[in-house]
Amino acid sequence: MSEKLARIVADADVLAADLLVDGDAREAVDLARAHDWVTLVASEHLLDDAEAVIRELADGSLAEDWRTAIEGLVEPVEHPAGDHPAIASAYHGDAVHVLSLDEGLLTAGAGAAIRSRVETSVKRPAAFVRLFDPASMYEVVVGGAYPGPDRDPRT
Amino acid sequence: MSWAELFERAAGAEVSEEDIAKALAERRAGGEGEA
Repeated sequence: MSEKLARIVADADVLAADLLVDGDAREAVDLARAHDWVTLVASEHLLDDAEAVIRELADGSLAEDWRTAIEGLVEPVEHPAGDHPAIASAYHGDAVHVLSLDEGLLTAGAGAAIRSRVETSVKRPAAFVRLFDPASMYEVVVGGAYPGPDRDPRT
Repeated sequence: MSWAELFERAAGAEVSEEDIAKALAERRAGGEGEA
């Protein structure tokens, strides 16, 4: 169970906001970029959505380069095409945290419906950053004293 | 390409979370498009 606590899905809106907006989304995804024991899980469908949004709101060249970079960061999972990409990625990728900006997923009712089928909870990036303290999580997930970030989140 | 370079290139996009939410909702409402 403990390893699952460090397995995260960032929905396509959070991934696009990480790149294009900064703020809470970047702070949340930085936790995965900075720690090799924090696993960002994503399906091809989820990355397709984020890439399409980046292409639409920024440009195709940036979207392509982002895709290359994010594929180097995530652990890929597969799910049927009709499933919600973030929830299905959490289900198939054993992730207990889904980060989203989608009000439709963040309501109490939606959360209860999701948890009845998938052992995961949907949070805004800001809430996740407040909850996920790397030092205390390291003790639970890896064991021992937290050594600090083990990767440069900007490389 | 590093994340630092990607963030630098993206910095001028002037995109909001609302813009992203709208674009993603439209894409998902229309089904899977070409990435």
